[in-house]
Order: sequence, then C-alpha cells, then structure tokens
Amino acid sequence: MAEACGGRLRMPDPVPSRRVAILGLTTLGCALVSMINPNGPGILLYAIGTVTSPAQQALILEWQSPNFADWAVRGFAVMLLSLAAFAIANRRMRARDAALVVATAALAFQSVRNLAIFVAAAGPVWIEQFSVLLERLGERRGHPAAVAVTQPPDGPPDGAAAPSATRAPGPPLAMRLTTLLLVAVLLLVGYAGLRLAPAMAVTPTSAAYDQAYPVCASRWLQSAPRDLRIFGQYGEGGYLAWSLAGTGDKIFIFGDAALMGDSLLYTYADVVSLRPGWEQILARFGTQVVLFDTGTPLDAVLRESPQWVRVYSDRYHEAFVLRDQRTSLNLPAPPAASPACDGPAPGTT
Amino acid sequence: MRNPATTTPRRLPLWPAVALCLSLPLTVQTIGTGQAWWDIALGRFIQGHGIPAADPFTFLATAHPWVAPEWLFQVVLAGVVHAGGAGLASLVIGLVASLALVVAALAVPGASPTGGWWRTAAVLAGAATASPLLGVNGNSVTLLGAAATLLVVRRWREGGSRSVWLLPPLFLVWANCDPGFVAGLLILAFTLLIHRPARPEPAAGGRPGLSASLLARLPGSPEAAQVALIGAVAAIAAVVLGLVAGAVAMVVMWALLRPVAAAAAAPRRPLLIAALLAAAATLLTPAGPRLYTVIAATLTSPAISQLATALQTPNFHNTFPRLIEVVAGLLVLAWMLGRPPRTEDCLLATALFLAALEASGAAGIFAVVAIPQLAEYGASAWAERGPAAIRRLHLELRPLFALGFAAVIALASVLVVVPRLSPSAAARAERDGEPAAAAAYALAQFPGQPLLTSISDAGYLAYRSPAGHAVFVDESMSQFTGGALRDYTDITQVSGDWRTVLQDLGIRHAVLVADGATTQALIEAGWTVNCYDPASGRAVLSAGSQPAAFPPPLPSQAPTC
Repeated sequence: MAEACGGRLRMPDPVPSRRVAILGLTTLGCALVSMINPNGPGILLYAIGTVTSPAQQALILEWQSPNFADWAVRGFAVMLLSLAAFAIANRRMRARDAALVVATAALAFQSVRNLAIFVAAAGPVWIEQFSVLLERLGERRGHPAAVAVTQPPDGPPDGAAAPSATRAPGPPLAMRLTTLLLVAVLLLVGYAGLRLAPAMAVTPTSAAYDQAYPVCASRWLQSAPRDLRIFGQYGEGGYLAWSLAGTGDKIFIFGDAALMGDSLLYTYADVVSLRPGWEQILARFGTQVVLFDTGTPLDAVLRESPQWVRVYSDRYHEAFVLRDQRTSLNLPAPPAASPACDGPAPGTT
Repeated sequence: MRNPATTTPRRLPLWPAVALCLSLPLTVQTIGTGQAWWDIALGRFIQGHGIPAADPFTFLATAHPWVAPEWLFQVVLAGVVHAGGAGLASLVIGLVASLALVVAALAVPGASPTGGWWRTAAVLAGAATASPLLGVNGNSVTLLGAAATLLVVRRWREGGSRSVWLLPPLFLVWANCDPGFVAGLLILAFTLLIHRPARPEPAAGGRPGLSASLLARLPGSPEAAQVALIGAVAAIAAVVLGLVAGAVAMVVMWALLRPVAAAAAAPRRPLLIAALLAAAATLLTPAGPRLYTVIAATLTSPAISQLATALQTPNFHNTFPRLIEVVAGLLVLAWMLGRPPRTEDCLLATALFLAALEASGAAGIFAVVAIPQLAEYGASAWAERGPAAIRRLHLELRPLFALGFAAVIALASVLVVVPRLSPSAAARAERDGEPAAAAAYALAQFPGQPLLTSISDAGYLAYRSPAGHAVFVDESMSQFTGGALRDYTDITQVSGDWRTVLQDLGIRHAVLVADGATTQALIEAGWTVNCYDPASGRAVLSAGSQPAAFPPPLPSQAPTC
C-alpha cells in the first residue's frame, strides 16, 4: 500500500511491482507459518485481542498513551520531531519508510508499550535521514556563505588562529581507535562495578524488590495457613503466584490480561476504584485477605472501614481481613520490624 | 469557489462563508462544563456587585488576592445568557470560534495560489482538532485573538506595516477577556526574535565573531554545527525540563544562531513598537501586573497541573486528541512534498505541537497556527505531486453553482446547529450533564453550609447559589495555596489523611458522582446518602454518626433527589 501511494506521489526509490508482489506472498507465507503452534490460528486472534481490548487499553498502565510529563517518554517526542526535521530538510524519504514511521508513531501515541516498536522501526530511518542531512550540509562546505563565516576573505586576522578551511591532520587512526577502546572499556568496567555487580546479587526474594513486589508480605503469607483466597494488585499477582506456589493459596488476578479476560479486568477495576458494590464483589469471590499497595484508595478505605481489620503492614503493602473472620483465619502475627521490611508496626484496629 | 489561477474578474470569495458554515456544527456546543456555569455565575456577580475582592463562591479562606482574568468575557457572557438564554450564548461563542478559524485561513501569504478548497479543508481540520477545547468558554476568544495576530504578522511580513497598530487595541480587549492573550504575545515575541536584519559579513581584516570562530573548529560545515548545536540543546531541554522548555530552547537557539532575514519591506521597528504597546495594553486590566503573576502561578504549579486537564498530556485513546497527530503528520507531509517551507513556519508549528503534547490546552492555538500552513503547503504539495489525472479535472464551479453549493452547506449547517440552540436542548443538557436535582436538594436542605464537590460541579453550584460561599476548590485554582489543593486532591483521590482533612474543614455534606471512589469511601466512613440524582448520576451525602451497614447500600437505591 505504501509503495502504491508513494508511486502516485512520486516519492523516491520505488520498488518494482514484481518485488512488491513477492513481498506480499512472503508476508502471507509468514502468517501461515506463524499458525503452526499449539494454538493454531488462534495465536493471531490472541495478538489482535490484546491490542483491541478496551479493558486492557483503559486499565493497564503500559497500554495507556504516553504521558509527556514523564521525562522518560520525552525522548520519543525528540526522536519523532528530529526525524521529521531531517525528512523536511532532506525532502526525500521512501514511501515505505514514511509509512513505517507513521504507523509505528501512531501506535506509540496509542500505548506507551509501543514506544519500543517505534524505536526499532524508526531507528534505521532516523540514522539514514541524519546521514543524508550531514552529507548535504557537508556538501555545502564550499558554499560562499559558509566560507565567509569560516574564513575571512583576506585571510586570518592578526593574532587569530586560521579558521579551519583546511584542517590540520588529527592523530593517527590507530591512536584514535586505541583511545576510543580504552574509554569504552573504562566506562564498561565502571558501569559493571557500580550497577551490574550489586544488581546481580539481588534475588527475587530480596527486600530490594519490595517497592515493586510484595516480597515481605509474601514471606508473611508463606507462614500463614494454606488455601487462602487473596485479592492483590494486578501487577503483583504473578509474583504472589510464584512466591506462594505450593501453599494452595489462590490469587484474584495476575498480569496476563488476555488470559484473565475483559470481564475479570473490569471486575477487578470495580474493586480497586471503589465502585458501588465493591465489597459484594470481594464477598462473591470468597476473598479472605486483601493485600494491597499503601497509599491507594482501596487501602485508605479499608483502613477506615469498621468492617475490616489490618493484619499486616510494611512500607509498601498492607493486608486486611474482615473483622469477623480474623479469628477463624488463624493468621500468624505480623513479623517484627526489620531493616529490610521496616514498615510501621501493624495496627490492630 | 474557483481556482485562483484561472480567475480573471475579481469576485468576493465564497470559501469564508462555506468554511464558517461547515465549522459551526463543531464549534457551537451546548453548555456542558462547570467552567461555563462558573463564568456565567461570576459574570452575573460582577454585573451586580463589581469585581469582588475575594472569591464569592468558596468557603475556603483563599491565600492570594482575587484576580478575575476573564471578567469582561464573563460579564458579556452573563449578559448574552440574560438576553437570549443558554442557546444564544452557544451560538455567539460558536460564531466567534468559527470566525477565528476562518481568520486563521486568511493568514495564508497573499502571493500563494492557495484555493478556497484547501482553506476550507484546513478550517475543518482545525475545527475538529480544537473542538474538545471549545464550547462556551474563553478559549474561543483566545483562538480569535491568536488568528488575528497571525493575520497581522502575515500582513507585516508582506510590507503592510499599518496593520500592526491594530495590535494594542486587540490585546487590550483580549487581556480583559482571557489569559490566553499570553499566546499572542509569545507569537509576537517569536516573530521579532526569529526575524533579524541580515548580519553583515566580517569586514576585510576584521576578526570573525566568537560564535563563527568556535563553529569553524567543530567538525563538518558551520551550518551543520549550528543545526547540531540547536538540536542538541533543544533535545536536552525537552527531555530534562519538559517539551515546552525544549520548544523555547529551540526557538531561542535558532534565533541566536540562524535568524531569518526579514524582508526589506517588513521593517522590524513598527512591529516592535506595536508589540511593546500591546504588552503595555495588557496591563490595563483590573488586576494590572498581578495578572501575570496569576498566569505564571497557574502554569507552573504542580498541584494545579495535576487537577487541570488542559495542563495535562492529551489522552490519545480518545478520537479528538488523535487529530493533533493527524494535523501534525499532514503538515510534515506537506512540508516534505510541497515547496520548501519557511523556517519560521516550521519553528512556530513545531513549538506549538510540542506545547500541545505537554498540555492539551495548547491544541487550539496549534490548530490555528496549522490552518494557514496546511492550506498553503497542502495546496503546493498537491500542485507538485498530486495525481495528474485528478488535477486536470480543475475542480471549479460556475458562480451560480457555487452560490447554490454555499446555500446548501449553510442550510445543512443550520439544520444541525439550530436544534442545539433551543431552550429545551439547553435544559436537557443541563439536566443530564449537571447535578441539577442534586444541587437543588443540597442547596435547599443545607443552605450556607460547606459542600464537598468536584471542581467542575463547583462551577454549577456557584451558578445555582450565587451568594453561597458554599463550594470547596473552584475553577479559580490559582488563588488557593498548594495546601488547599493538596487537601482537595487527598479527599477526591482518597489518599493521605483524607478523613482528618474533611473534619478540619468542617465539611459535613457532599454532592458527588455516585459511583466514584470518594462516595464509596464516605459511605464506608459512615456517611449516608440523602438522595440520588439519576439524570446526572450524582448523590447527596451527609456525615453520619452510625457506622456503615455491611455491605453498604448502593447510592442508586437512595430516594430520588
């Protein structure tokens, strides 16, 4: 399609229609081959379902559109605009490249998760456009205006170094490469010493992960009676399932949204967003423990509710049970405060 | 509509009328936001009592002196509503917005052979892009001011220096209507910065400038070094400080290193003097220089940007924000395929696109700036690259057909717009979109008592209870301290010490969205639902002394307000 439009707009470097036909056949072949898997053609529907699910798009952070107040996302805007600037300056871009950039940029605006696809697809185009621009600017080196800036007409003024119309030769190539290699090795060693070595010492059960996953809370739950039904945060469900494997505990939801389905995602959102009937949902699923992030509305309401009682607390997570089930659940006492899990002492209200 | 290239006798073009009519269905909107009710309430108050010294609607003691940056717009709006109801207000404001878009399309350079089709299409694209920001509010005034500024700048570029003297009166009115006048000042500052008289080359035997000497030592040509330096500084500023900062850095660096030579027919001095006079005219408001303090506080406050959607990134899951992308993409395509774009056009549109990505409220100004460029460069790209078979058709209408075509467009537009202007449509929009029944109940049952509401509903409650001092944080957010805004955020997001804050503020009644987290949190804390407004989905709650039942009753099961 891009080649067809590009041909009409007389964009450069068109591909002969025979090669387009071959590419089309190859694409079809790839689609057919991708169906040879345990799910058959369903694997394609699975991918489409993930992208088109309104529940996932609305509720899951990585499917939401980029927030440019976050500095980590701004690089996308810079890359996109610089690519556009190069293309405008060069006034030359292949139709297929333009289509690839437009499509992946639209995907990236749709979901922050697609930024990686944009970078992968637009990166080569960016490099090529930048190279063309540098070449073009370099070609203008002999332009009268450029010479006027670099070299006054009557030669260098008194006392001033001669501007570099003809540059002095730099150091030998071998010396440049050796220096570059040394700098690269130094940077690598520094990075490994400062970041990689400490990171390699961290295991999934290290308290360093507690901000992202309920490491300390899962230790406490491991010492609890078996077969609990736990309502936890969507993104932490996978960790809980892994850390509580073998205990018989069941978690409400974990981070495979396609497997969970839109209906369960909406149900989960009803509880987390405190929609009317949220407690009935917890009751309907037989929830015995709510383990949730501190500072969230659900945590704040459970703290204030006379129906619920807090049974565990650390810096990032708190656990609640219904007051009338507290005794029957026979949960262990909260662990003593430790440097690793130094949350406030759990309340008994 | 005719192709100007083939026009021999000069006739009044029909495209402005067609574009105006076509854009009206997008610009004429019923009153549907708390901001509009707030504006009407304040306008009525000012008509009766003059500009107040303090916010007349909130029960909070505000930290900063009251400033009414939109007082003139609000007074006029209240007068229009008084004279012809909400429908007339919708029509008048819609016409202002459509006029702004048409004026923007007039800012295409006179020498450009841009036909009416292209201008009309650009107006439609701009109307669709700006439509989420439009409605009965001051944004339409700002769009008109920005479009008029662009038109004056265009005429100045072409040597029409007399038009620049329209700027001071324009900014005098604009500054009293909407704080968006700052965008107009920025457009003028941009024009003055980027256009410089061509710098003379160093004299024979003279020393080259410092920047020339430094650039000469960099690899590649000086031109490449300049562009690389501009790009690097702008990119770093954008990533570290924000996209708006990146846009400012890009413009300033470009102006310093690669200024655009102003045409000999466009002397900078008259524009500079007119711009200074315009800036001085913006001080002639009831707030005086304090107006700038309020604007700066609004734009830089993290607490306000957390609450005001206009200061947040657009949500590209919605349709209309995606039009920002579409318009930007079309601009880039037109710049690539048509005749080479003017540097100042690229810079201005890019800077505003960056601003719109960071703050969705800037999308309207971006649309206004994009309209003349889409029309001009789009027409140029079509002329150069469009399929010859279609171009040869010469889409040209005979005068009689053109008039008939315009009449049909106008009739269709009237048929779409008029139903929105009737009193019944306004009443329906108010009943369905605003907490009409809930507000009536709360104001009757709890007169003079502080009410917890959302900022948007606070505007409507202020409209319903003009002498109330009843609402919490309202639309005039810059007058509140960060503490008050944090309290509001804590309560509405059920975080921090939200219950303590409620108690400290003495709030015992609330009008809230029934299925919101705050409502459920209050019910859990023992508050009771007095009544439910099914049309708007709001509930009226009061603090109770008994613990909540388990499971708590659904708000929708409460008696109807």
